Amino acid sequence: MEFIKRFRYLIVLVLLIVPIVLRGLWFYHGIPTPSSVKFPDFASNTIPQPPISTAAPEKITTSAGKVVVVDFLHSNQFAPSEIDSFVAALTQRGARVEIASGDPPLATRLKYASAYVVFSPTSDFSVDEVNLVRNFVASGGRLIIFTDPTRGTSTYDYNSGTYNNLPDADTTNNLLAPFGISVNNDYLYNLVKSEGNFRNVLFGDFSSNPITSDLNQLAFYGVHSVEAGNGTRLIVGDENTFSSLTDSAGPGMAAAALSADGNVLVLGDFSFLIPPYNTVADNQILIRNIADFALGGIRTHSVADFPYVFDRTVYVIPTGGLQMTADTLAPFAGLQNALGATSTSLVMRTTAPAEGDLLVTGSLTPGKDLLPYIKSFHLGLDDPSTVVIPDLGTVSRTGVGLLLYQNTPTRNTLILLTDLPADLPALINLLSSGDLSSCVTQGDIGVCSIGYGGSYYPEPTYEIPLDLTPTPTPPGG
Amino acid sequence: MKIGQLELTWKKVRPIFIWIALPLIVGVLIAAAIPRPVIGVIHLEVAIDSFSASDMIAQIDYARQHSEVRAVVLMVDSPGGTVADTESVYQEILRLRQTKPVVTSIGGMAASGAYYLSVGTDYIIADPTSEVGNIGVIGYLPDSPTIYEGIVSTGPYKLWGEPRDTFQREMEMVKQGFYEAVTLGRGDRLTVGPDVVLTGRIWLGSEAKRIGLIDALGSQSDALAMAAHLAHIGNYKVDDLAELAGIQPSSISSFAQSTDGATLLYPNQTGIFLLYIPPVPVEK
Repeated sequence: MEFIKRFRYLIVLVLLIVPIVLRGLWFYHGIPTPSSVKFPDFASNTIPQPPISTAAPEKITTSAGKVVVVDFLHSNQFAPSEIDSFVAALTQRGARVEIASGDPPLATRLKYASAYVVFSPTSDFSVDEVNLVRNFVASGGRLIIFTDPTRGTSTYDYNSGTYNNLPDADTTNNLLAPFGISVNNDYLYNLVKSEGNFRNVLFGDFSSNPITSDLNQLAFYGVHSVEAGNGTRLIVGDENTFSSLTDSAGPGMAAAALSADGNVLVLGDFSFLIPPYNTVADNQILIRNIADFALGGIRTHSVADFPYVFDRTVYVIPTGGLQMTADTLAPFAGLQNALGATSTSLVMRTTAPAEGDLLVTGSLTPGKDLLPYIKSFHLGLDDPSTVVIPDLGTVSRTGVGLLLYQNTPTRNTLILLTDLPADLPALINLLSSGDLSSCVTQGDIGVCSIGYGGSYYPEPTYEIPLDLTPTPTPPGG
Repeated sequence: MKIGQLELTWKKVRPIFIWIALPLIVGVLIAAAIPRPVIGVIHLEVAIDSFSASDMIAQIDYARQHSEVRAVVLMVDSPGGTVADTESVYQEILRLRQTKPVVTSIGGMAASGAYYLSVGTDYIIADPTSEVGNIGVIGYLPDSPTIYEGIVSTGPYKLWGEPRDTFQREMEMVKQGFYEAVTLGRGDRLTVGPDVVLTGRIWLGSEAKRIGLIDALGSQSDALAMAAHLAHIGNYKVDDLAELAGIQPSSISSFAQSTDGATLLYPNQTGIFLLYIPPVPVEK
């Protein structure tokens, strides 16, 4: 008791506190240290702005009369309005742009085109079309292919309820196979430095080429990587430009490539043609350079390209004293009509003027006035019944017409030769029709079967009335 | 005698009662008034939109105002959601963290905006196969501006909001904010740089642990234990903050409704989202 009495206040204090402390300790094991919380400085984040163009004043080299054919036959995933900047660059240079969506067929268009431009095709090119384009490029035509990873298409499978992707890269590679270039079914991205978004890749590494002249920086907006093969990688990404296929940079990802012969240009993007992206960085300069490239090819036409072998006024030079008759005037009128497609006119002359293209008619038995024109073709005309054609061999003159084509920087000359003057209308008609399927064409020489010409069929024969005079019966019969 | 004895006994006992029993009783009563600590749980099992964000903010507010809630565990299974709503909740979480520890427990998924919220907490725990990450922004661009005969406005972007190009660039700005939140939240624990983080990848929990997107692999119980540890509490009880705050989870969603009434994972409007949208199955 004495103890309680002596320490009562202390005891009270202890007994008051102990339950509180015990319960407190039961629940609370210490005093938590408040976290040092940092708030993001949202206000310091800014909207990235596009790089400014360094475009220099444009120097336009005109290419009046040239035609650029834009493919619209292969489910191409673009709207013509999207390529206005490119079309404008071409028309500023005097070129005409045709959207190939039907007649005339592509084969006809490529006879006169300077460039064939394909945007994101998603339906296949046939073997014939691939060969056609290959020959077009071999003759100096320019092939420009724009692809874009955002422009594939897909079909819905109602059975499985899934979508089937149809990327433009697959179809494009079918067309590109002869040229050693391919487009990867990927997209490039850069997480370190980009134009507003990781898939909008900035490029500053360019091969030395007219297509990349005056470029400092380009911005592509969703771009396939392009494999150049033996060609040139024109536009290459930096070490942080990755392919979506590998998520790595590899040896440097190309966004554009030029074929080894310099006539095929492939780009992995065409969004850079579309406003407002066409004015970002040096994209406008690239568009101009591509337009120059499209019009910069030198076509070496073959005789099969008729009537597009001419690009000036065509003077008809008859040799061998050919007389204009009713039979010959009509075919020439048809020829004049056919040349209307080339915006050239046909003018009859007796001698060749200093300038202009020539259409020379003559015989396989040439006179002195024809010899200067056919000399370079080295025809063997000694045998009166045959003609020897280099690399083609000996051909009978009967029912045959020859087309000889000569192209020089100043003049195009087409020579029409038949065995007899009477055969000439048939050959001209064949030429006017534009269908040379009955001709064997080999480079600058075409050998045509003109069948119904005057030298092939004999003169019309009519049934001779039978002489009904009875044969006298031999005596004694 | 008995009375005398009783008086004697009382006399003897009284000091004990007054100086011992009474203080003890009072002490026990006072101690009983000490509240049992609560770990409040906030569930996020839907996309983050204005409705779910409002619910979460109300729960966070409750936790901040009630001292017995000593820690909060955010239990996440969400693909993320809208930017503004995500950022609102994120900032509320940061404010709550200034007073109370907050731990995230990732269930099935903490993608995009849901991971944004997670990095605002002190500690992140996920299941080994939880889907974590998808750090980045996704947007549905508005159409190219045009005019209609029957709709008249006073400016070219009155109807469209902004140019498509600006829209895309704004996404980049939002991404910067997201990445800043990740780096602030994870600090040195993050072992990879933006070249990895900003790919938008979804990592499994075990991978996420390896690169520092989360702190540990574990269950919800582990998350509760960690919250208790950070709050220095024991013998706690776990309460659903939605119930404590009297919140009825909203059944309305700003995301698209399918014809059968289900809420789809993708938004039904153009805009910028911190959202993971599973790709449509495609046959190559």
